[in-house]
Amino acid sequence: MVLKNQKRKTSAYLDCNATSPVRPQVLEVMAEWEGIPLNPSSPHRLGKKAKQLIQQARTHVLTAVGASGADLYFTSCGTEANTLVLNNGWDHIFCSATEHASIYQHPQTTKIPVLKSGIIDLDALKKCLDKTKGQRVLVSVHWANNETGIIQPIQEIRNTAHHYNAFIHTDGVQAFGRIPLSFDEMGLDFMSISSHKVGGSQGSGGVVCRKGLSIAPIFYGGAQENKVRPGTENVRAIVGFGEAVKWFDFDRMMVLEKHFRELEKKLSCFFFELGQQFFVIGADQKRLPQTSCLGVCGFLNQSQLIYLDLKDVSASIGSACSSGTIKPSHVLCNMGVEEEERKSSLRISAGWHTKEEELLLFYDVWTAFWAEKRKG
Amino acid sequence: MEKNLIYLDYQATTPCDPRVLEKMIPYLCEKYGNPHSRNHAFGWDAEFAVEAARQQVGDILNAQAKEIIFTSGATESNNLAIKGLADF
Repeated sequence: MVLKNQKRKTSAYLDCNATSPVRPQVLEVMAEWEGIPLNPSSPHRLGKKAKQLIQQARTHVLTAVGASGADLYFTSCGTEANTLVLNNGWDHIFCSATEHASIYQHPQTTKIPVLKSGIIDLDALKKCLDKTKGQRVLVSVHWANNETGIIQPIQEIRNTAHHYNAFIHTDGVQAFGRIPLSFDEMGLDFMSISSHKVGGSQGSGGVVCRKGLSIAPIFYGGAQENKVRPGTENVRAIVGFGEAVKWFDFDRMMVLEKHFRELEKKLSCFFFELGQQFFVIGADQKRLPQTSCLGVCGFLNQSQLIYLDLKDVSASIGSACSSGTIKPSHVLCNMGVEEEERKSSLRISAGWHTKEEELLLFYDVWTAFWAEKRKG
Repeated sequence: MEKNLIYLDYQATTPCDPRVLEKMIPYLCEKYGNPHSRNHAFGWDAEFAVEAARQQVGDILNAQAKEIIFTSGATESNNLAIKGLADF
């Protein structure tokens, strides 16, 4: 059966940091195996085929992440990948104060403050690492933030961790596929990735693990993934992940970056004319090319999003994993962003399929909203 | 599948029912939202689909929808159930 990528109903989907549509090339590859039972643990030829498909996907993903010599354990998602790394018998885990909920809410983590720029306070990290010398310590800092797009200085953080003989993990879920990166070149120990942010389907993520390091399983019950992740593999989703990474297009990301920065400038001019303060969180920082956390004070972001949705523009506040909660974003709180800005900021994030006209639609709809409010 | 191949390993896994696949496809291509995205129709559609599925699974097990927790598979479910009970 050949799957066709159906036309989207909504005019502008700007929430790719929550999830992205599956690439048509990925759907084609996944469709080849529909109707065929594939359990890689089965001893017959279909089982062997399934095993081969997973291995091929593993090779593709390791190449894409610049970790050809490392191990990769497929998981169900990025949250599970983060949990596997953090539940690895550490004496201490130091993470930044702006991590994804799956790390931030882990009971064993000690939060290291971030500066107003959103970058981790390295001096504070060094003090903590100094106090825990000789113990089994993990430093976990995301490569790029899901809410603001701010990119952490992973090289420096890694050097700091290793200087104190600590291990370094990075949640690379938002950075992978958006900016060129290399696990080996950065000299990392662990990294989490996810398929559905980059054109693969939901149901597959992974932990990249430096050769020679071990990860303890959190499930019991099978020998899959070298006993690190028992449970029948989601072959279809893994095959899709392997295909999705082949289509990474960093040139396209640079084009999106140009559109995003132009959009921010245009909005700045518009609101200046309107006499209102427009802000972009982390405007001066290195950010993901397709993410912008921006706003104008004076109207609750939840209400703005309803207006946007009614006009067929899908945007967001903060992370999907926490967007259902009433509490404000810990990311913006811990960056010291003022309450008024926190309550009114939006996140727009693009993906492989995003066209410039979607950003133009966002501009038209959002500026019309504020122009109406101003009149009222 | 190869024409003459007989598959008698359904305890290991089963081929996906074409009716199931038809139901799934829109959620890969068109209604691809994250069910936790609370702020737009993509998220609401996805959440609605997940909750409908939860109700269907509950109905077939004669359980309430809120008693169904979706996981990545039975191994994870077994581990979750045992570790969850261990806290009581």
